[in-house]
Amino acid sequence: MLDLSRAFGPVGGRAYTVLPDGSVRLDRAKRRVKPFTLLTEPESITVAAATDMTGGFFADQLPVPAIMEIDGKAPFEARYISFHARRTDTGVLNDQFTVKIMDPQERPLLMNREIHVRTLAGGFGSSLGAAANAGGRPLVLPETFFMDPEQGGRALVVEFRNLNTFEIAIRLGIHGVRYTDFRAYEKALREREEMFGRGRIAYPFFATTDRHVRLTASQADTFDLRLSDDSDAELVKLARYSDGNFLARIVEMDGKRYLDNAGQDTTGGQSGVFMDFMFGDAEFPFIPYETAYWERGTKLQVWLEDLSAAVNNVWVTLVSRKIRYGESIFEQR
Amino acid sequence: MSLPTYIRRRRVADPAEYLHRAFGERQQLTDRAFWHRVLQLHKGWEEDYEGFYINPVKRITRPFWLLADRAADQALVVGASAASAKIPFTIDTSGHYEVAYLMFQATSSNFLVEVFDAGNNEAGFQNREIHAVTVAGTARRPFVLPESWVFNVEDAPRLLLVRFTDRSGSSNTIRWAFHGRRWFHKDSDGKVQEAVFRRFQRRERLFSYFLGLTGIPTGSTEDDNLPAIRLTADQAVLENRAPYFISTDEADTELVKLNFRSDGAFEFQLRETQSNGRILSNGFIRNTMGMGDGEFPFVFPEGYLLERNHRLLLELRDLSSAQNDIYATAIGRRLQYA
Repeated sequence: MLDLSRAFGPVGGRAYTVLPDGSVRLDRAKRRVKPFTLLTEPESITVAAATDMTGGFFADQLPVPAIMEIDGKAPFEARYISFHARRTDTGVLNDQFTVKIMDPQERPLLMNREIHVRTLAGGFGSSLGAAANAGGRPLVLPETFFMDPEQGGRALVVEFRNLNTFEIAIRLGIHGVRYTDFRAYEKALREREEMFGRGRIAYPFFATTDRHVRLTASQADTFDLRLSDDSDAELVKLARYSDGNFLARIVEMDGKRYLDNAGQDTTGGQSGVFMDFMFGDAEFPFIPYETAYWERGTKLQVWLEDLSAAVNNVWVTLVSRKIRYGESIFEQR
Repeated sequence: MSLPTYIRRRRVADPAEYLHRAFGERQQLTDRAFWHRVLQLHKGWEEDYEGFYINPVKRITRPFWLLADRAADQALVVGASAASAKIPFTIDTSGHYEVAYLMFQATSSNFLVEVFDAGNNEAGFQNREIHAVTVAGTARRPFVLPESWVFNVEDAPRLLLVRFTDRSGSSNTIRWAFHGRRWFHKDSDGKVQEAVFRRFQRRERLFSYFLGLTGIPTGSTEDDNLPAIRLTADQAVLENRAPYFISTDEADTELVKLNFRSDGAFEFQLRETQSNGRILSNGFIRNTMGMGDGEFPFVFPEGYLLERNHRLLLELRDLSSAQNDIYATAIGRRLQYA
């Protein structure tokens, strides 16, 4: 007799399984594993205007810190990031600020420097038709991030820096999963550790150039991007925000390996990849066909050339994950 | 899809060895229960691992952007309604290359494109010129080939030739980029090189292919050589008068995506010329409900196998009440050795 029970692939969803006899079995863990959004406290952070935007783009602006704290009830696994910001005087939507996220626990920063919010979080819409402030396109983290209140992981500290000469109010949300079922949490953690090896923990990392990119009209310049010594890094997505068009190249300094064949122009100068072929933004990031796995201590150079014939602030972000050797979380218990 | 970063470290690498250990010596091979047990144990072998390790091939693979060889061609100025020369895109011998995404940016998106493999008698990846909007996007939403184009550079560089034809009627500056995976296999040990080489030999038999419309009724375009059908206001082209997609002699084609570019709204239905004219819908479908573009293609819920020398008619009705140029592209994978 023809057996078609497996002919059309597996049956079932995340919350239930259809058994061979046709009955449905609910996954009991789903009662204690819930979606959860972690916000700043208070939910809206007011950031004063940058009063001096000349000579540097935020010359006298100190970053404004805020805390994102979970209560002690259950661990949290961060998966998406979204934002919403408005001018406080007119209510007009705004996207001109930077963010730095720090984990006050033993883990290092989630980024090597502050990065532009349009390369970190969704929520501002895009030219592809997503409505401004639609929640449907958050940045999906390339690797989830665990916060366990029992292990000192109770809070993240974020810093906002205003790039406007007027005051804005910022909301930042990190969406994820709350595990009130400890066994489900431990299983998720253990799977993570199994993937990357005992004692290795992976977490998202946003890498940007070591110094801010501010190109004068038609200027070309090279910017270092050092991946830290504590972890390997894997590039998963590329995002940018800029005042105008530019060309870019990424070079691995170890062996001078280029990630393109852009070559030289007729004057012997370098040519590069047009920005819209290499970078998306947080809502629609460019996901390369192959990730780039870089071992610790790798130094990259990012070559950039302005095409806008005007001053061009360029923010590029390599949305990555770090794979870190460290003490096993399980050994700490 | 990116290669896996981490691989399961199995306690027993060989499934046969795993089964041998589980069964011991003698077994009755004709016993049905025995084979059930084998299947169960094979599943057990798949689940039996003690951790993961980083895929060694990740060390020699990188994302890679392939641009025109000459900087001047990377932002190519194509004259109004003119065709460019065939622009070279060279893949040097530093590593095999798989093209997976197509991207463009231009003064006007109204232009045609053709891609040829110079290392393979200039074989085209399309049956005729294709409208760029139907096969290319940008970094935010690149056009993803249903099957990557694989270029083996073991012995010599490979060359892609790309020709652009402006349809905007004005001078058009066009940037074009291929993106994919570079295998810097020569930077690895012999065993990995050998495995990569074997994989590339196999993969060259399957590739993505673009089918533009053929059989366009004479006089329906201003130039019968262009792959667009020009409908007059409210005109319909049905059955034998309809243009069609055809899979030619050398290969079957599995159609996966259907895209369009047009001046105005229209509706369509797909009709097989074989099988007594079976229609793939129960009525006419509005263009935006059944066709996409390079950034957001319409993906068939089930691939459609267009066998060699079979035709798929595209019956059309204009809804714009005005003259309407329609370019349609069926995107699929070519199965050359099926």
